Formats: sequence, C-alpha cells, structure tokens
Amino acid sequence: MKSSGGTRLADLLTALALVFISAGALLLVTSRWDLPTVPLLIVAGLMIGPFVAEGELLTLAQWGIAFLVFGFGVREDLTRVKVTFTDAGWVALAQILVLGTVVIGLALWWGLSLWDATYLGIAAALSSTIVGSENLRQAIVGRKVHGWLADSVHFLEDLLAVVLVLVLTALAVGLPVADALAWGVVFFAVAFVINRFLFGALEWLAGSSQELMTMGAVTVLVGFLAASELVGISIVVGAFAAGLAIRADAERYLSMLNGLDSIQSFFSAIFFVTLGALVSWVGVEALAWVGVLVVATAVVKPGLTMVVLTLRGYDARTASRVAAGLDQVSEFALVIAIHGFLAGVLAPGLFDAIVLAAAATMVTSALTVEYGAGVYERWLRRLLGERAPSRVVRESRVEEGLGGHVIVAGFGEVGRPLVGRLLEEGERVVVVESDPRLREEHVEAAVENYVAGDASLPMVWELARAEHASLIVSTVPEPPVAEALLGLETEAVRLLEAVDREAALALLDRGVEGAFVRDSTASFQLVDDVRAVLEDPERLEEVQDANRRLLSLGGSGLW
Amino acid sequence: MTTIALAADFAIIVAAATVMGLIARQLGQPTIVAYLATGLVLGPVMFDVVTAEGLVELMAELGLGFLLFLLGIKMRLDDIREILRPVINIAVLQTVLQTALAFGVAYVLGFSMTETVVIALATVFGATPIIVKVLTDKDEITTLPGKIDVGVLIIQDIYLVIVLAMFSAENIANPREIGVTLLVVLGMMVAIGFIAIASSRYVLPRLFKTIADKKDVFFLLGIAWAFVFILVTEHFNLSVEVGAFLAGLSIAQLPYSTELEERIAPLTDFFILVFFSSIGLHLAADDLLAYWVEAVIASIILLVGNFWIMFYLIDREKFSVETSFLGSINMIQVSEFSLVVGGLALAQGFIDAQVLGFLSLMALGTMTFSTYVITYNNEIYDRVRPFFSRWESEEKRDVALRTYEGHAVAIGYDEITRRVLPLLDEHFDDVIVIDRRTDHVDTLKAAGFDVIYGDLRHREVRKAANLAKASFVLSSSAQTEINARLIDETADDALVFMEAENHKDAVRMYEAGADYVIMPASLTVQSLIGLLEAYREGRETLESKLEDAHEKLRGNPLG
Repeated sequence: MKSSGGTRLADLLTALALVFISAGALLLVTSRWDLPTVPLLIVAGLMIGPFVAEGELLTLAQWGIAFLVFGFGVREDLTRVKVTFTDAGWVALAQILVLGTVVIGLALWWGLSLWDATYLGIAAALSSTIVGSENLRQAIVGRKVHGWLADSVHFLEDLLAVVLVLVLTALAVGLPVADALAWGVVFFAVAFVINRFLFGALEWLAGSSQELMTMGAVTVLVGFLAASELVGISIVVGAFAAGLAIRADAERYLSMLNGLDSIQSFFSAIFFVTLGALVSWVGVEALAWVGVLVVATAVVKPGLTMVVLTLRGYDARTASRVAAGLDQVSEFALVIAIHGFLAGVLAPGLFDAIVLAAAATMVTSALTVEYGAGVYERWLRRLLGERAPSRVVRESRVEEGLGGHVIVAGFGEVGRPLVGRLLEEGERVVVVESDPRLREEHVEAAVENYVAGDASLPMVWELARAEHASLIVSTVPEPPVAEALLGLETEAVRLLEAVDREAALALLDRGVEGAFVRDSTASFQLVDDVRAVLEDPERLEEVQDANRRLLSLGGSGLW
Repeated sequence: MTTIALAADFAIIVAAATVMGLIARQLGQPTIVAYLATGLVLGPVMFDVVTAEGLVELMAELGLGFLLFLLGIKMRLDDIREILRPVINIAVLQTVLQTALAFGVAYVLGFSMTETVVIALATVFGATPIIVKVLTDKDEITTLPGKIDVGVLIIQDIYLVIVLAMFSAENIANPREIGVTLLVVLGMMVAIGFIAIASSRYVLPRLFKTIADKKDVFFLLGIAWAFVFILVTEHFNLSVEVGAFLAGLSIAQLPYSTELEERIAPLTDFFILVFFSSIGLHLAADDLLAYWVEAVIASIILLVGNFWIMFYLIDREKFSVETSFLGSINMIQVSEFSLVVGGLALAQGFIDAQVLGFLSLMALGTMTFSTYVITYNNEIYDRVRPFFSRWESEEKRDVALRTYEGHAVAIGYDEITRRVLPLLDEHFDDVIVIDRRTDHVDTLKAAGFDVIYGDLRHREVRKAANLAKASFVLSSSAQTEINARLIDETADDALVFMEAENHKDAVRMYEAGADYVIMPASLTVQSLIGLLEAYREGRETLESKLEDAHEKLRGNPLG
C-alpha cells in the first residue's frame, strides 16, 4: 500500500520512525546508567527537533496524553483519598501553597503575565508519579513508610492536576469555570456508573478475549474524549474519567491491563519525544527560568517536604527519603504546559523552560534517590539537629532502672510478632520505632516501654538502656542502624538484620554476635517445608497448618 | 486543543469495530471478520461516514507493519524443529498446487491474465490469526496437527513476503519482468536477511541483553528496531511490510522474543483493526458484489480443493490419518493476506476495486465458515472416520513431540527460590525456571536448568512452561494477579507454593487454593523464635545455634 498514500503518509511514517529510532538509540547508549525513561525521551526529541515537522506528530502526541492520563485513571484507587490525607496531604498542600505561590510571586515580580506565572508555579509544585514511582518501586512494593508516603503525595497531586487542567482550560477557552467543574463532576459520575454497571456487561460480551477487552477499554476512552470535546472541557479530564470507568481488579483483568499498557507505552513515548522536539529556541530568560525551576524543585521542594514531615513527627531518614522521591517536575505539569502552549496562553520560551526543567530534574531525581537522600538527611540534621533529641525524650517511655531486658528495633512484619512472642514468655521488652503512625496505633498498645526515635541515633539506644539489656534484635536492615549498634558498649547479644548476604557476612566479620537476612532465613525454613512435602505428600496438611498459624501471628497487616 | 483528531474517523472506526467485534464474539466468529464488516458498514457500501485518509491510513500501514513484525518474531525455528523436513515438503508443494488450483479456477471464471495471477498468488495463504486463535482457545496448538499447520503457515509467511515484494514491480503479466523483479527482490531480501541474521547473531544478543531487564526500554527498542528496517526497505523501494518482517525475524531466535511478542501483540491488535476496517472503506457496494457469483463458486472449489491438497501432502509424509485430516481441515480458508496482497495490487493498478471486492467476499465467506469447521474439527472427524479409514496403514505413525509433563516450575530466581532449586532438581526430571533477568538466565543455564525468559503476566510465557501439566509450582512473585492466574492454570493436584507480600494477600491466596503461601517475614519470625528459645536456654546454646545459621548463610547452593 506504499504508493497509495503519497508523500504525507511517507512523511508521517518517517517522522514516526525518527521518533522511535532516536529514542531507541538514546536509551541504548544510556542503558548502563540507571536513568528514568521519560527525560531520555524528551532529550531524544530535542535531538530530532530540527529534522521533523512537529505538526504531523502533534495529533499522535495528543493520543499520547490521552493514554497517559487514562493510565493514571486506570491505576488510581480513589478510596485512598480518605486514608492518605493526613500526612501526605500536608506535604502536597505545602508544596502547592508555599512553593507554587512563591514561584508565581517571583514570576509576577519579574513582570510575567499571570498565565505564564501560573504555569511556572504548577511546574514547580507538582511532582512526577512516573519517575517517582520508578525510583521508589522497591520501597512502594515493600510497603516501606517512605515509599508509601511519596506515592500518596503523588496520588493527591495527580488528582489536583486534573482539577487544575479542568479550570485552566476553561479559562483559556472562555468557558465559565463553574460550568467546567460541573461537567467534571458529571464525567466522574458517568465513569462511576460505567465502572459499576456497564463494565461487567463488557466483560460478559468479550468473554475470554483479551483483544476485545482491550479494545472495549479503548472505546470507553474514545467515548469520553469525544464527550469532552463536545462540551468543551479538556480531554485530560475525559481521559482520566475514562480510566476510572474501566479501573479494574488487576487479578481478573491482567491481560486487558497488559494490552493497555503496551498501547500506552507506544503513544506516551511519542508524546514525550514530541515534547522535546517542540522546544525550539532557548533564550537567556528561558534558561534563567530553567534555573529557577530546577532550584525550586531540587532544592527548595525537598527542604519543604522534610520540614513538614519532621513537624509531623517523622525521623530524618524517612523524611529525607520521601523528599528524594518528590524532587522532580511532574509529567502532569508537562501536560498542563502543552495545553497552555497550544492554547496560546503560555509563552513559547517559558514552555521550553518547563520542558527542559522537567527533563533535568527527572534525571537529577534518579540520582538523589540513589545518593541524595543521604545529602538531604545531613542538611536536615544540621537544620533541626538541636530539636530532635528533646522530642525523642518527650515521646519515649522507658521504665527507670530497667535491666536484663530485650530490645527490639522496628515494629514491622518481623518485629511485631517477635515482640508478641517475647511478651508471652514474660520477657521485658523495649521497642524502638520511629514511625509516628505505627507508634500511636500499635506500639503504645502493645508494650509498656518504647523509644520513639530513629534506631541509627546513639541516644535512642541510651534511652532504651542498651548497656543493661541482655538481647538486642534489630529488624531494620539499614547500615546506619548497624553502625549505631556496632558502636554500642553492651554485654547484650546483638542480632541484626542485614539487607543482603554480603552485608550480613561483613557484620559478622566486624564482631556482632548474630546477623540474618530476611529472604535467606525464610528460604532455609522453606526448604525444610518443601522437602517434607515432597518426601511425604501426606504431610502437606501438617506443614500447611503450621504455616497458617505462623501467618496469623503477623496479625492483619499494618497498612 | 480543538485540533485533536478525536471526532475523527479513527475514533469512529475503533468504537464501531469494537461493537462489531463484541457482536461477532457472540456468534463465535473471529474479530477479523468483524473488522472487515466494520469497514463495509462505515464505508461507501453502507453509511459512507468515514474515509481512509491521513491518520487512518497511517494507522492501517502501521497495523500491517506490526502484523508482519509480529509474524517475524514468531518464526522460532525451535518450535517446529522436530517436524521441519516434512513441514517444508508440505509447505512448498502446497504452495505450488494451491496456486495452480486457484489459477485454474480464476482463469475458468474469466478473469484477465493479470487478475488471474493476482488471485492465484493471493489466495494460497492460510489464515494464520484464525487458525492460531481457534486452536489456542481449544488448546490444540501444540498437538501434532497444530504444529504442522503452524509450520506450514510460517513458511507461507516467507512466501508472502516475496509476493508482496514482487508486487512492488511495475508489471506482473510480463514473465521477463517478473523474473527480473523476483531476482532483485530476492537479492535484496538475501542482503537484508543476511544483515538481519548477522545482527541476530552478533549485535542483538548483546544489545538486548543490556536492556532486557528494563521493561519499557526493551519494548521501545524493539519498536525502534522495526522502524530501522522499515526505513531501510522504504529507502530501497521495497514495501514496508518486508522490512518489518525481517526485523521481526532477526529477533525471533533470541531468548527474549516471546516477551517482546507479548508486548507488541496488543499494539498490533489495535492498529490491525484499523487496517482491516480500511479495506472495507475502499470498497463500494458495486465493487463488493460485482463478482459475487464467481466468489461463491471459487470459494466452494477452493474450500474443497485446499482440503484435499493438504490431506494428500500430509498423508504423503506418513503421518496418521487423523493428523492428516485435522491438519488439513484447519487450513481450508482464504486468508486475510489475500486482502493484503489484493490491496497492494490495487494500489499498484494491477487489479481494480471489483477484484478486491471478489477477494474480500471470498475471505469473509471462507473465514467465517472455517471458524466453525476448526471449532468442530474433532467432531467432524468422528463422523467421517469410516470413510477415511481406507488410507490407514501400518507404516503411518505420528512422531512423538517432547513436552513438559510432571515437571516443576519455579518463577523468579532470587534468594528464596535459589535454595529450593537443588531440592527440586533431586525430585523432578525437569525443572523449569521462569525469570526476566538476563544475568539470572545465564547463571541458571550454567547450573543446568531449563530457563524461560519472560514475565509470567504473559500468556505465551505461561504456555511455554506448560503449567497445566506441572506437578510442582513455586512462585517467588508476590503479585497476587500473577499468583491467582497460576492457581487457575495449574492442575488441581499440583502442589502450588507462592509468595505473598502481606497477611491480607496471604489469606487470599490460601482461599484461592494455594497449597502453601510463603511470607518471608513470617518464615523469618519462625526462625527467630527458634533462636529465642535457644536464648532462654542460655547464652551458649544461642551462640551455637547462631553459628549453625551463619554456616548456612555462607553456603552457596548453586556453587
């Protein structure tokens, strides 16, 4: 069919080929460093910018936006709003109110229009879910406090971004804001109805066909997009609502979600590359704004995050890790910016600045997760170093003259059942736990003695009366915690969790009495159970019962 | 933002095709039939609301490109190695005989010489998507008749690519011109094929190895690779499809091909829908029905003739009568590729729209009919068995295919599974490990395990491990959607051990039917409780017990 389309088709195909080849080449060249994909796609766009006519790609890029936002909707669980608002809500609020306002003020003072200032403020305030969750995947999957907090902040900011897009687009096209908001509510209501009632019908009709389920989901998206065009609100709102409409149980709709994921990856890659290709000419002023945005997101924002979390009672390590997960410009800011750019309300130079700042901070953010959390933590300790100890003392409770006791650091999945067992056997236990939420809800109810602080601080061990203890078990596999324990003067047997085998062996070499690695320890136990069942299938029930009893020890989960 | 092509033709096609697809599904028809019908409904034949221009044309072109890329990726010679020789014999002779039959039929029906050549070349192919889809749904794709069919289809693909390339020529009625074109095309194919093979041996393994662990990068690089070939073939004036096919072929023999295939497939589904619909869009009612009598006659002759040709050829290779019958009756239809070839011939001006209409009618009719035939192939054989028994003889026997049975499958190579693997190796003849990290694949292969590279989310990967026949499954994935799928797909009497991230998931997995849920935290607690008991007996007991544990930790099970 090659010759039928004429040159336009050939041009489009060539443009598309350039998009993917440049992206592929760049990803390949940079594959040895663990960089996030999104900024690399933008850079690939910068490289091919002079050679492609973006006009051809813009339509495909729009589909990229639609699928990207749709993907967010599919994954969001709105019921989380209730649970997350407290701490994550404060962080999100501070970022938007304080940081957003400061940048908007700065831009106005510089003489930019209110439109331009607003877009810059949004770019400074919102953080990227894609990059953030890619960087913190381990922590999120493992339900670590910092992963969960950062993830919740992203979630709240994404919701807010959808509202911002709704309002800003309405203003740009002259639709009354109240009307736009009302339409937004209608869309979400329709999405809810579809999800509740019509989605099941689709499933019934499609049967086991992944292809039809996937195409059905795309059709829902197409319907919502068309509807949003019809009433004049942003397609982002339509795409998000469509995502909520087909939000589905990952277990049952695995292949449909896989299918959507592929289509989304394809189109969103086009979006990010096109975004880079749109950056045309970077003037001095634009560069200055890149600088401002980078400082605002990579320096001021983490500082703000840490201050808020410290005020909420989190320890320095958790606060700094959350901060390191949030120090980048959001892809939603890019979606919002391209809206403004295409609507003609955002100056091209500033659009360039936002795109460049996003690419830059997404790269730096990958580095800060690796190395920066430590830097942030040191800043924080320097900043608040004087305050923290008094707080630890105030919130801890340890019986005077306690001795011969067991100290358990960390009240998580391992710590908690262990403490339960120790208490059953009549041991006197001191728990060390830094997470304020966990402490208020679980630790205080379970034990009489606890220290409310980070186990890497020597003063925490002093408070826990470590020198008089007879056994210390740490279930926090962090090097700083191990260091604190290694430096301790105590007669107690120290049993430390390490993050991996090498770390455990290193600890043993340095003289701790015991070291364990969670997965290795678990695997020894598992090997015994598997052997029992394979050698005598009759024993399955017995092994199973023992395992289920063990599970119930862990309780019904902490989160 | 009003420029988005949402109200555009493309969106309408997607929505309409999905609705038609859902209807077809209720009638037991494949989606391709629905997509063709969609084009007829939306195009000049009925409502005439959509035209195949601009974006639609690009998407259609991409659809065809991705379809051939996917076909190329699927050409894993390993899959048909055991029956390669008979399959080549069957495929070559079948191509010759069926082309002759179709040529004769078209000639007798009064088509011109050029048209007759196009029809003869276009109608040889079996409908890969239909055969593969229906047989997979019936779980017959890995049976001997299924493998023979797949093998013949694979070889037909090469033939298809040659035919497509030939049609880039100016005139196909002139034998000398055909000869020259064929030589040029073959020369180029050999050259590009050589590059493809060379890169699949020297460049790609290293290239993909560095990035295969990153899901998105891997996917984008796969697409980029296809586009490189598309650009090159386009530059040499070969059709885009040839390039895409060769790109796929060069990846096919890599261990990562199954994984890439799974990611590309949904994208292909998405675009191919546009392609098949666009065929209908090109046809007017007059065109479609111009040769309807001829189409009916030709369809009947080809349905019967194709069956006997295939039956004769498979029987000739001394397979059992049942295998010959089933292998033949699956392959009777005229495939969608007749439309690919016909579309190209139309674009080149070799035929007019009425001949394409003739081909479309034949494809629609025979594919619809053969879907039912394949679905009930065993029942039909039971009915006609007495008649076919005359071909039975002593020397005809089916070769035994090697499949996994009563084996153990381990998902994920990590700290938990690696210590269990040697134990499984003692108890089972085959231990297959599924993992998606290239360095793990190397380690495991070196240790003598069968390894499948890929993500268990993907059906192809689960199928490759033949989960249904496994006796023992050990999953170190804690993702409940994957584990739920595992429980579904394994036999009831298989032992299924799987990991869970938290207590809630663990309980759910037990309810879903897991035999044993591995929670590393709980197993660790169990082991720590053992240490606590030792601690209560005295410091020395504890220390000796710790020494044992450390000794285990130092050991490395796979050496």
